Amino acid sequence: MVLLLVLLAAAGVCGRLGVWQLDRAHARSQAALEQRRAADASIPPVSLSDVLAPQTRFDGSLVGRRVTVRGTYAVDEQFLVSGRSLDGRTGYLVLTPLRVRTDAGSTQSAAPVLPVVRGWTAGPDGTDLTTPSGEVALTGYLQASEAAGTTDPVARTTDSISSGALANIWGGPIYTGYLVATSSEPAQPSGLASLPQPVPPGGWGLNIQNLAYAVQWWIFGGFALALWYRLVRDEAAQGTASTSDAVASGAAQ
Amino acid sequence: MSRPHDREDDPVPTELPPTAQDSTTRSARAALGRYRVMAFVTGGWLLLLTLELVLKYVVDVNGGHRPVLGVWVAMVHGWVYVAYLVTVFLLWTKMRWGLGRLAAMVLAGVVPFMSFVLERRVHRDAVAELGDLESRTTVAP
Repeated sequence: MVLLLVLLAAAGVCGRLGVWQLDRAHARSQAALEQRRAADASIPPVSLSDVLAPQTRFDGSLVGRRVTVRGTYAVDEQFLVSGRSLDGRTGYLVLTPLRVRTDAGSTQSAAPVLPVVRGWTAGPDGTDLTTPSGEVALTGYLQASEAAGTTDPVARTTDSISSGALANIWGGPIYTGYLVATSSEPAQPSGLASLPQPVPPGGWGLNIQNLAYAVQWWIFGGFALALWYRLVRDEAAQGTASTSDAVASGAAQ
Repeated sequence: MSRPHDREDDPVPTELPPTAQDSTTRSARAALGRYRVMAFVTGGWLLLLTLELVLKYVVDVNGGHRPVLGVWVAMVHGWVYVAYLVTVFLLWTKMRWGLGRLAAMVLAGVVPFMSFVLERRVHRDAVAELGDLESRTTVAP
């Protein structure tokens, strides 16, 4: 009887340990993400032209890389990107094309365009969306372009940041990623909230090793239950056997 | 050396017809074979894991107790051990051994070298008991 309780308790403990490992899997994955973030943030920003050229493939490893870029905002061609949340609130991103100043001797006929997310706003009304005029020096994080969505060129709203779609409106050549601006020189009007550092996509959000441990604990718990079941069954079989024995001996008397 | 387990719960009722008896011992032998394979595999991986732990924590090859051979050693042993436990449980159920032997077999998968030693004893006992059983049924045709 005690043994059966011990086995059930063992199964419970195994289940609990599995949950613990699942928590650890999540925590360690978060820690790895933070580590990656910190590592990206500690690398000094490099010039955009060193890592990405216009009209070339955006490598996934560039996500979250800090870069500097100089250029001039095309003020009249700004877009609002709808349905974007920051800290749990849904609002808009302010997306402005930057005509990038390239090095002398560039073969590009026109200055290439870099989509720049200048910041987040809860609503376009009442926020100062004016851009600094003249040449600006920006620092920010690179992020990969999104799939094309619905764009209204008249209302100047869109629901995606897609270089391909934007090139049709802004004119190329265009960069295949965009910049999440963190600082601007000269500074832009305050009122826009900065976005956090982008993190690379992928990963389960769970550490594989701890996930495996969690599953193993549950299997061990299953073994304890199987053992419990077998003992109970044997006990029951023995019980019937001794009962019938007793009946038989009682009948014989 | 006397048998360490309880002889009172006889493995299989002897009044079964010979064919049923045959299939019972045959499946027990199959379980014994599977257990034997997994005992060796688990023992081997456990030795590799022990080596890894010694290199990682005692010698500290890479410094800061970082993995030497890799975390995969522990992960593979973990899953091999799970498979080993399945074979242990099935064999133990078939042979109707006591709980002490089950505990020893479970432990043998995580104590270095123990699985090799215990496997010999388990194998010897199982073969003896199954042979015993078969001779008892073949005596009366």
